[in-house]
Amino acid sequence: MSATPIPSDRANGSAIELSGVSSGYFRKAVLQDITFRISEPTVYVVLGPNGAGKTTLFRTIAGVLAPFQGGIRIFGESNETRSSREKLQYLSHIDGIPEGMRVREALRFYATIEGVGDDAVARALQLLDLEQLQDQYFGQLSQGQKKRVSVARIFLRDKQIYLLDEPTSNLDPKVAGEIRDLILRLSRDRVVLYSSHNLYEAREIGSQVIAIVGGRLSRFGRIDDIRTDRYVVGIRAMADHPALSAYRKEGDYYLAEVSGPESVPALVADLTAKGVQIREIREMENPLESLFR
Amino acid sequence: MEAAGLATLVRINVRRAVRVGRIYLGMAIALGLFATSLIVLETPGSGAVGTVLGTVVPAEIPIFGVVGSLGALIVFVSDRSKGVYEYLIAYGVETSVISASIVLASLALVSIVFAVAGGVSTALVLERTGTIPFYYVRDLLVDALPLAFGATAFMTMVSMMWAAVASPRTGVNGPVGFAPTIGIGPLLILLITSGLAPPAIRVWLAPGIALVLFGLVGLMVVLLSRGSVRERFLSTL
Repeated sequence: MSATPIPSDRANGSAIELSGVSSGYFRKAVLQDITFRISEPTVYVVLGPNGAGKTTLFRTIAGVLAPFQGGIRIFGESNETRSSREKLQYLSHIDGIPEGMRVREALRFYATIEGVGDDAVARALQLLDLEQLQDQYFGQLSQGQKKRVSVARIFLRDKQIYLLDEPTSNLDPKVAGEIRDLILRLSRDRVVLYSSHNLYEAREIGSQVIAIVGGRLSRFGRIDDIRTDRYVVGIRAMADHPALSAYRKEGDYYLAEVSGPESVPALVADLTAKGVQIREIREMENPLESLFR
Repeated sequence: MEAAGLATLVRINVRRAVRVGRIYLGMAIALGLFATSLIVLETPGSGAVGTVLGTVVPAEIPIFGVVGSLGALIVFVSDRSKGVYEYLIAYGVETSVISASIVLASLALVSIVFAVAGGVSTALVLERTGTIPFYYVRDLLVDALPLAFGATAFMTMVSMMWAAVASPRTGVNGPVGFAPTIGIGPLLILLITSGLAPPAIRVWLAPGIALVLFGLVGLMVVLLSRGSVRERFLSTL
């Protein structure tokens, strides 16, 4: 894939800029007054409970929905222009593969729409390990295989911004991991907006978070900066020990509440000094969960 | 490199419409040929054959054309429900271009029906009468051709708008099942009005109706170019 990285001089403005955007369906607003600006190429994880407006956000930035209010600019230009759309690559949570097509045919269909040739199709097939499936009908594939075909489409043509709505849903952990690696590679010099219901995946892949709750932007910033009001770790010991009796037990784990991740080494040192043989220590609550409350 | 324009989309959609609508297309051509052959076999005398063919064929072609073009509408309904248009719109393809490409694809299918049914009937008229009468050519080109194209474009456009505003329904209850009724409507209007109109106006009725239908189709395409219509093209899945 030939690289078209984001211009380093930022001369064309932010990669994505939303100002006071309200959007939705049939005059009913789902998103309200969303404002943010994205310049740095990295993965921005879009999080929020079901129905919060994540898909609506992706559709609005991609130009699939016209906002009721506010504006969206892509490198300084309205997202309604053809040149803005040329910079965006969009993956919906719906496959969008025309009925009755074989895998290669479906990718060729989108390659024609995108204005690229058969070499791009061959490359996408190879990248997603679909060569064995290329002559099969899309409708006959498993859910995971269908998702791979759908994801392959985003690699048909190199873009500067990738809007990926649940790209790893329905995938087994191995393939999901491979796709995350591809996306992480992309994000070195491109902006990637990535939605997921999996908070652990979100922490693994994202460095920034865009949280949407009730159609409004509830948080925009670095994932590492998210602090929960309580931080609970689970301690699994080789054997029961009196020093652990102060902690509540849940399953195999003794739960300890500390001020934050930075307090964990001190806790471990204290317990070890008291003779507790620690087998495992783990975070019992993902800090990203606090965004849903 | 740039996202597809109208010509590319029409090319793709014609190919797909022929494939998914091949049963309707084959049925329309077969019915057209069957009706024509029946007239030739059942009508005594070469002169009478020419007269009957000249009367019936131009009237029947719009009906079979409407049926034969259903493949284009099937492509629209299927693509919409599968979420294909969500991607096309994101690539920058206008909703008006999507709908225009479907209408043009339906017209390409009518051309096939028209070429086969019209061609065969013309050959039969020529073979049985030794000449191609003026009234036959006039009826074919002034009545049948504009009406077949106008009725098909109108049927496709109205059914697309219906599909876009209605909750998804399939089979005879859905837009594809009901479309031929819409397509046959203009022919019924022609039949009713031609009995009432004075002879001087009668000859312009079919092209006039076709012109009005194309005008309405153009208006609907313009309406579908509005940004707020895009959500109508999204899958409800």
